[in-house]
Amino acid sequence: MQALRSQLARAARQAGVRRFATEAVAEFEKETAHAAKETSKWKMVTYAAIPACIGLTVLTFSNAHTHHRNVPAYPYMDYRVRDFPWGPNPLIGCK
Amino acid sequence: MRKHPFHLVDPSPWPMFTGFSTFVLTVGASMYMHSYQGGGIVLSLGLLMVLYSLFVWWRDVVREATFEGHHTTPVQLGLRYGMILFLLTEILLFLAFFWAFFHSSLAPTVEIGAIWPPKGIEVLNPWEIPFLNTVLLLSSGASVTWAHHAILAGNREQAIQGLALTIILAVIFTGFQAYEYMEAPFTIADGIYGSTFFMTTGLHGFHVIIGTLFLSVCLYRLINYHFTRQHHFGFEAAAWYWHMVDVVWLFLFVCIYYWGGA
Repeated sequence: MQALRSQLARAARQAGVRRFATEAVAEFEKETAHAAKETSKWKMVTYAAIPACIGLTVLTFSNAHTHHRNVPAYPYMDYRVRDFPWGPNPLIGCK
Repeated sequence: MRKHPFHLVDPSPWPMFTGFSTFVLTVGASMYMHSYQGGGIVLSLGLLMVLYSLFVWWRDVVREATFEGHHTTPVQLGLRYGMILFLLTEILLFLAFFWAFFHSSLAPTVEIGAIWPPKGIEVLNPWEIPFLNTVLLLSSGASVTWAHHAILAGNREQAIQGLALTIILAVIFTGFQAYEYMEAPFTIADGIYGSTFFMTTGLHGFHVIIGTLFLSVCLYRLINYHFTRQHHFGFEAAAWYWHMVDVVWLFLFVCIYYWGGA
C-alpha cells in the first residue's frame, strides 16, 4: 500500500512537471513569434524613415542660406560685462 | 551560501574617487570661469578624472552583471526603479529651464520690447534644420525599437544593425545641431532669448551626446555577447534614456523653435 502511494505521488509529480514544461515552452515560443513579428515591423518603419531623412536633408541644405548678423540695435543684445573665459568670441552664433 | 537574491556589493574605491573627481571639476570650472591662473588645467584634469571614474565604475557594474551573475531578478527590478527615478529627475531639470523660457516669453518685459522673440532678434526657421533633426530623432527612436525587439527575438544580427543605425542617426543629429549653432544669427550673450535658447537646446545637446555614448557601450556589449533575450537591462536603460531625449526634443521643437520663434 505504501509503495503504491509513493508510486502514485511520483507519477503525479512527473505529470505536473511535464505540464509545466509544456506550458513554459509554449509561452516561450509565443513570445519569440511576437518579438519576431515586432522586429520585422520596426525594421520596415526604420527602412521607410531613412529615405525620408535623406530627402529632407537634401531639401534643407539645398535651400540653406548663410545668416549674417546685423549690428545689435538694442542694449540687451550682445550684452556682457566682461569677456568669456576664452576671450571675446562667444564661440556659438554669428558674430 | 547566500540565502537571499540581493547584491551586497564589494568595497569599492570608485564612490570616493568619483566624489573627489567632481570636486576637482567644480573647483576647476569656478577657477576657469573667473579667469584664475591655471583654471583651464584644473578644469581639464577634473573632467578627465570624472570620465575615468565613470569608465571604471560602470566597467565594474558590467562585470558584476555579465560575468559574476549578481544582477538577479530582484536586483534588476531595483535597477529599473533607479532608472525611472533618474529619468524623472532629468525631466524636472528640463522643466526648470522650460519654466525660465515661458516665464520670459509669455509676459515679455518692456526692456525687450514687450514682444517675443525680443525686438531685434532674428530667429531660426523651425522648418529647416530643427524639423530635419526632429525627423532624424524620431527615426532613431524607431531603429532603437527595432534593435530592442530583435534582442527579444534572439536575432543578434538585426539588433546590431538597428543599434548601429541609431548611433549613426544620433551622430548626424549632433553634427546638424553644431552646424546650426555656428550659423545662428544670435549668441548666448543676446539677452534672455539667447540665454534660454542656448541653455535649453544646449542641455538637450549634451543629453544627446551622453545618450550616444550609452548606446555605443550597448553596441559594444551586444557585439561581445553580453546581452541575452531575458537579461539586457543595460540596453533597456539606454533605450529609455534615448526615448526621453527624443520626447524632450519634441517639446523643444514645438515650444522654443516653433511657438517661441513665431
